[in-house]
Amino acid sequence: MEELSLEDIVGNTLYVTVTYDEDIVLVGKLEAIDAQGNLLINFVKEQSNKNQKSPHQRMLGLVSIPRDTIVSIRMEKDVLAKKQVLKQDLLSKVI
Amino acid sequence: MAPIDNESLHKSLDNLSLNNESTFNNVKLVDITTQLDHFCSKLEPKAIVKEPLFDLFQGTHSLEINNPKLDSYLIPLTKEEIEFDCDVKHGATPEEDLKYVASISDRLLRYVVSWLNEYQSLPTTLLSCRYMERLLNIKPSQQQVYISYETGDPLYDKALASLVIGVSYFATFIKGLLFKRVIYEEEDLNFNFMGIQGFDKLPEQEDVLHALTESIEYIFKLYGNNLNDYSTHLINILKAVRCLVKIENVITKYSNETDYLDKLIQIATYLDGNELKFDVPMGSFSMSIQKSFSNQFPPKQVVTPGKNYLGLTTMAQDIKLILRVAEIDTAVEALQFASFFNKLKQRHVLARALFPLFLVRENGEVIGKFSLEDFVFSHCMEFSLMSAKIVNEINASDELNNLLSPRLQECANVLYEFYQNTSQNTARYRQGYNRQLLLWDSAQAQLETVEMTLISNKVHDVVKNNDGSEIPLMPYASWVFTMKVIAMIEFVLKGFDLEVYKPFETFDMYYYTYHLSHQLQACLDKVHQFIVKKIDSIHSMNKKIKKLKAGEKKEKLKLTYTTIMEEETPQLQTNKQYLNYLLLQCNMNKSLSLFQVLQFAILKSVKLIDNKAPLSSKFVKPELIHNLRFKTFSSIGVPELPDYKSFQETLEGFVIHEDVNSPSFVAQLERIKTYMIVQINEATKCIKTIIRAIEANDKNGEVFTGTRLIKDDALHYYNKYLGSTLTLQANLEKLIERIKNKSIKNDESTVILEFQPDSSTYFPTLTVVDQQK
Repeated sequence: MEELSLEDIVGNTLYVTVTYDEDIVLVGKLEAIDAQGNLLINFVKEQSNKNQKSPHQRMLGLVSIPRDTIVSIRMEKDVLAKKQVLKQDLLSKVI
Repeated sequence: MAPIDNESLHKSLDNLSLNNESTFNNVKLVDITTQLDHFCSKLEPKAIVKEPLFDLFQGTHSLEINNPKLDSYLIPLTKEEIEFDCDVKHGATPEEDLKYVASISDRLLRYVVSWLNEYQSLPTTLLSCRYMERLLNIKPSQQQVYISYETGDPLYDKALASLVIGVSYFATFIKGLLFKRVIYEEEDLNFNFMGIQGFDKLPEQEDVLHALTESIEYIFKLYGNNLNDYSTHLINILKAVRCLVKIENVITKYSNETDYLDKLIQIATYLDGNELKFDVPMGSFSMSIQKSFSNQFPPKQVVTPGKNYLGLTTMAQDIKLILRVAEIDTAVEALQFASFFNKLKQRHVLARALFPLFLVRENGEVIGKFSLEDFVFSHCMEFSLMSAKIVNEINASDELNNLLSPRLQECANVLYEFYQNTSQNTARYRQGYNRQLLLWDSAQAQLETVEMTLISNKVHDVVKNNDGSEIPLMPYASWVFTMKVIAMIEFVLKGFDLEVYKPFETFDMYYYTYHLSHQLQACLDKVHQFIVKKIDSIHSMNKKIKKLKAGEKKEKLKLTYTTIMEEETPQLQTNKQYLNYLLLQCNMNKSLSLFQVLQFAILKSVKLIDNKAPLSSKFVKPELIHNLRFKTFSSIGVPELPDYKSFQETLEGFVIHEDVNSPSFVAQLERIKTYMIVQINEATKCIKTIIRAIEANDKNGEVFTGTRLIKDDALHYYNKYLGSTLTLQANLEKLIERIKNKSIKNDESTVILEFQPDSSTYFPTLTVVDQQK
């Protein structure tokens, strides 16, 4: 991921797991991130598969997630890979 | 952008396939926490990286995770709330079950009032009820909400379920009104339905009413002659909900039937007088819905409803009032009804929402009687168009008709906007006028163009100007001008009611009202003169007939005379009386505004106030503040906005420049006071004449107010004006007295705008108070 920067990540869908319930995943578009790693995520869906029969899902809108409440931040593998290839391609052309 | 080649992509994907890979909902994910932390560590401490189009200000509205005040996931729930089951009975005995069902029902009904009358949100009222959540939370595959629980006890499964569905049906009806944009989310009420699908999958009205009726019959059957307080209470609540479900008939069937509203008033009065002590089952009302459903708001405590049954009476009475608009016979009556029904007191949100929809129907017809275009025509006929030459000329010419029709259509749109605006909440009401003024102005300009064509064809009526010269009547443009200037005056004066202005702006606003009233008066005088002239000419026909010798000519004239007497004279007489009313009203505003202007000038003379912002600086000039305040009017063509200089010159003209201690100051003060009393007397005379006409149902032959259907509100409005004449005069006397006995200390005194009891909020007094106050 060395080729990428924060600007490449912003605007993408993130899957954030928070400290108070690791079964809950907050899925939404990263709108902003600051130097402390606090996130502003929009169109957030709170999802949980704890109950396999009826997975829980609800909309929360715009959510701010302080860094100290974050356990992990994940991104879709395909999207990330494409970003990397594009960036490498662009860099090779420029250099 | 270059296409991505598969080889590079696979290589890149392989690189990512480390220990940090996982799946969620069948989506392959990569953990980027460490990398993000690494990126962030390289940023300046205050740096923020954001999406280019994202406005960081929006971030202030975000919900913060793990903050108990903002994160609804953290709402603590009790064991009872978590384990609450709607499909089991909660009472230990049948009596206890009745009490529980009655108590839940009672609370739901009171929540309807909390939600609609007390501006509470849906999740903290109705949706906090677990029984409501249970029925409305349906699977996407479910076609319709079921009207039942599974306790095995009909009290829950039938009575409570039908009540819950009845309340939900009513709530869905309100949701529909929000979509029609006659009332607004947050401003008028809150319909945060939390993404619950059931609201859109409720049974038909007929089925809901049937279920409620069956429940009432079941309770009657169950208790027979042994109805106790709780069963009676429950029956009444079910009946009240049945009334609520019927309210939609106002706009689905355009029914002006009021029996069910009378019934609702009767039930609300009964419930108010028979309050019972209720306990709802533990956990049956909870914040849990805020925790488990879509929610973009911070957690809020569930509302504890008060004894608010009489809120239903307010709602029913206000709806009954707006339904009276169906009885209008004339356009003036409609205009007056709309002008007064929501003026002094903001009516119930539901009545305000129903009014524009009931008045102008889905097919565009006004109360199902006439098209909007005909409605515009009626407004003109009842003002200036009756007996005008232009009418026959336009009827006879397709070309002229084609020219006029689109302009009248434009007027119809503005008129529609006017009627829509009258039922808005007070803040939006003034905003609506702001938008409307330009529309009226444009409509007037367009109609003037058409009427100028007629004038060039020499087909038009004329009236005499003050200097004896003749000016064209222009009946259409005159009507639009009148509507516009009345709207402008209302817009300015409503600003006082809404406390938009600071005391230093009082002079400018009242001087402008005076200026507008003066312009309006000239237009009204012109139309009045035309009508009087027409009536006189009709009467003179009779004399002419008498002088003519018997014969064909005489018979022809006789026939014309009879037709005109039957078809035109009565309307002309009414128009004359209506013009009398408009002139009185105009004069009333003009006199009171002039009074306020002079009051301000006296206060400026003793250096207690000036019409300049107290905190003017190098960057904020008084003229700039003035121009900002008058921005709305700067684009209006006619009447033209006086420039800043003329405001200043007028004020200076009224100010007494002599030394306060000099005899000439006192003499001038007395002269101004005398003139101000004349204005008060003039206003009083006008108001009393209007009040007399309203009280006499417009039958005293002088003035036609068109307030037959909205008499109480109109009387209340003018009585407040009458109150203002007294409070303004008393305030003046007090001020003069204080100036004379030199009891005002400039450095310790200030001027405030004060609303006086029983007086119009359009004319607050300019009161001198101690600065500390």
